[in-house]
Amino acid sequence: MEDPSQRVYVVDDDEAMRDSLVWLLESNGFAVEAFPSAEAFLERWHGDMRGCLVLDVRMPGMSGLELHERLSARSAVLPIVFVTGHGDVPMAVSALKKGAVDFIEKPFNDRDLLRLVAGCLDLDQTRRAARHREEEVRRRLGALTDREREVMELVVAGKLNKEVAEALGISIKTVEAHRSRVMDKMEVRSIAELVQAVLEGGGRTR
Amino acid sequence: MPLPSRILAALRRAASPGARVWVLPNLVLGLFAIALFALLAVLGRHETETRRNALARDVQWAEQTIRTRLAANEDFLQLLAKEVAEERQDADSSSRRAAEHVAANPELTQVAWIDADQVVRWVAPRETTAWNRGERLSIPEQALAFQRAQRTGTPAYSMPAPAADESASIEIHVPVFRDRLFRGVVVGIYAADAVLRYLSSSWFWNKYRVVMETDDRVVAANSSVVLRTDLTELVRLDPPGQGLRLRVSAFADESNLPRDMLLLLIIGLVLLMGWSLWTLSAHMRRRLAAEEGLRRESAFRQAMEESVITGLRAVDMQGRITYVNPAFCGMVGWSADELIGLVPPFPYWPEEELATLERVTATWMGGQSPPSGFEVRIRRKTGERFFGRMYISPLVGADGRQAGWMASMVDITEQKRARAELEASHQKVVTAQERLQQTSRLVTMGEMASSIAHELNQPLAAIANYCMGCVTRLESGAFSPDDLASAMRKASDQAERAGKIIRRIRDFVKKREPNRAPVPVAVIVDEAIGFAEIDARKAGVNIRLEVPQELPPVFADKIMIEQVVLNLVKNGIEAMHGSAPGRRELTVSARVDEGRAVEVAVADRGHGITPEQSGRLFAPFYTTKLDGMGMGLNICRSIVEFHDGRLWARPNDGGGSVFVFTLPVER
Repeated sequence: MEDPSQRVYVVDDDEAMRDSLVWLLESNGFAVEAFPSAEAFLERWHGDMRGCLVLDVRMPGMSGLELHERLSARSAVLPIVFVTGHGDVPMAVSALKKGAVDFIEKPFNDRDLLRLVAGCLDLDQTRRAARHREEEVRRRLGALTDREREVMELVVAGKLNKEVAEALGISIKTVEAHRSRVMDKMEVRSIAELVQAVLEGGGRTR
Repeated sequence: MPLPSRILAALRRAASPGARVWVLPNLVLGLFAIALFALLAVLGRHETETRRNALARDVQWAEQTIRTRLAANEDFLQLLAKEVAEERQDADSSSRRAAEHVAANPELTQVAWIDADQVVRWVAPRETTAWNRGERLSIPEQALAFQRAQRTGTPAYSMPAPAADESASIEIHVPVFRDRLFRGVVVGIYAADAVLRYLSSSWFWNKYRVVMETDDRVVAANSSVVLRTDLTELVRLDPPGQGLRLRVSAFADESNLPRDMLLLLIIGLVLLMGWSLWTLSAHMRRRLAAEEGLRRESAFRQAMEESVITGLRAVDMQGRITYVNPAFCGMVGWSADELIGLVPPFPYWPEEELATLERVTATWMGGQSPPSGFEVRIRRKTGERFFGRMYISPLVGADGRQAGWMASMVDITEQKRARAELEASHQKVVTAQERLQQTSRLVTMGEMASSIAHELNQPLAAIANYCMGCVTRLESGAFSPDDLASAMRKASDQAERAGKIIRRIRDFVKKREPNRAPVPVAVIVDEAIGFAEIDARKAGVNIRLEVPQELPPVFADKIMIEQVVLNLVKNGIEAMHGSAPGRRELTVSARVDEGRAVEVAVADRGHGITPEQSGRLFAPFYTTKLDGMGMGLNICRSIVEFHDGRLWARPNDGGGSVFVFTLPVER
């Protein structure tokens, strides 16, 4: 189930820590890339990065939390495992509330870390698939004309053709024609599928 | 200046001793002048009297002389008249005798025989314009005298009549009777001035102004000078009578000159004396003013000397004390009488400093005195020592020669003490700062802990990672020995790094590293009391313990809390120094406070804490003890608070104070 394109990005200012993390993760078969600072990672970051981020909370310069905030601002979806020191728990909690996946306190058990990393990679895959579907739905929705979108919204809302025709002031036949084109463009075969597609697309129709 | 006040001022001046001195000399001078002038007046009066008497005598004498001569002439004329009457002689012989008489008596100018018909029969010694034989008497005065002589039959003098040559003449008509028949008169003619001239002697003439006068005119005078003098005698001339009188006035006496000189001399002398007195008084005034100035100056110097706080001492060239001022006496405790005349070593030299002071003395007597003076230790009479700074300068007399040395001394004990105190307090601050630094290290341990943990976590986590990586690879079988060896070396390096960190931390906190552990309160209190027991016995303080054994153990650094207890106990013992011996009891008690903490109380019966003290009790450097640092309670509070406890003080019921602290029980 592991995606070979997935990588574990390690960001830690402490060289020994960084190197030993790389060693441990590589020993367990992960593809690892390490960065000595948040700034260095941010420089390399792009939206197509797959995998997860193992991020030290305390770093000189940009801290782990700041990097997390910057990435969120850029709608990055990489799951993050925060590595915290003693007494940094409140910091980690606030990070979790902001959407980080998990944190692990040094010194940590390797199993715990590996489990968290594996979990993060799964999460990344899931998120990426969802993101992919959502983008597909958006692409299809983008192909609809305004009238087709109006018809689709009413159909998804459970209205009958007759009601749709009355609401839009058009004939039932015309409604039926639009509905057929929406089904084609959205690549669904039933109303149920259409509703699911719209939901996967974030519930939005435009 | 209004008069009354001027009088007052004069009185004041007179009342002043300076003025009183001058009353007597002035009085004497005045009296002297008065006496002299009185004497002069008396003398003058006496002299006048004498002169008047002399004058009277002289005049009397002159009158007597005139009268006698006139009487003598009268007698002669009567004789002559008798002769003429009896015609015993012829006319020639009578006239010859008359001429002889006239020659002998110059006052008589002429003698004439006049018959009853008033015809001149002869004139002797010769005829003159006024008197010619055969002529009749023509002048009324002559006729009057003739008739009177004829009528009375006695000689009659005529009124003075002006003679032809203007000089008055007086005639005596002596009647001639024969056979009771009036035959005529023999007339003697006196020239009035000749009478004066010849009947009085020349000294009289010179001495007096002699005037013959009637009531209305001057008949003759020896001088035309009119004298204004009261020294005048009037005497009637009888004969000739007819209101004729002599007025005799003394001429100005040349002998007055010495008397006037005397007067002038006296006045001059009095003036001179007055002037000399005035000069003397002016001189005295100047002297007095100078004296007053000198006195003020001397009083000022005296006051200065006595009020100056610097001790002054003068010595002569041999080192003998010639002068000390009160400040010097006050410093050393010996009186000026005791000190003056002494030679080194002086009594105020402490025995232990004799050698030093001898050397110092030799130095300044040799003329080498540092401008900053000498610092010397001086012994008071009481035996007490003090530090003085002594400045020496040569004492140069009025003649410009050095007469000795002047030393001024300042007591610098206080300065030295202040400096020492300053140093001590500086030292105290430094010590306190060091202690404070240690304390602050202690206090910040909590903050330190997290960063220490973080630092240690790095190598530890790295080591774990390396090891677990190796384990994973070994288990999976997919490994290369080189990779494993490299990872293990790195892990070993990290272990070394961790060791270094721990060493660094230990160096940092050193002996003050708190070591908290569950420890029974009774143990802490017992050990602390053990340290304080010697002090308590010395101070006569009884220590009472009320620490139940069943108290839960507290979570604390035993040594630190022991120090807190020891500190509070010692404070309590010291606070009871002034208490009555029976009251010197210190109670250390402990109890559970709401199940989560143990409360320890140290109660004394000492002087207690005033409200203003209580506010600053725990402030750093605040102390009520003489030798206190003001750090004990401050550190105690830091320690207790480090243990999450509290330390406070409250008054003890029945006197003294209670210091209470809490410690959390074991978690």
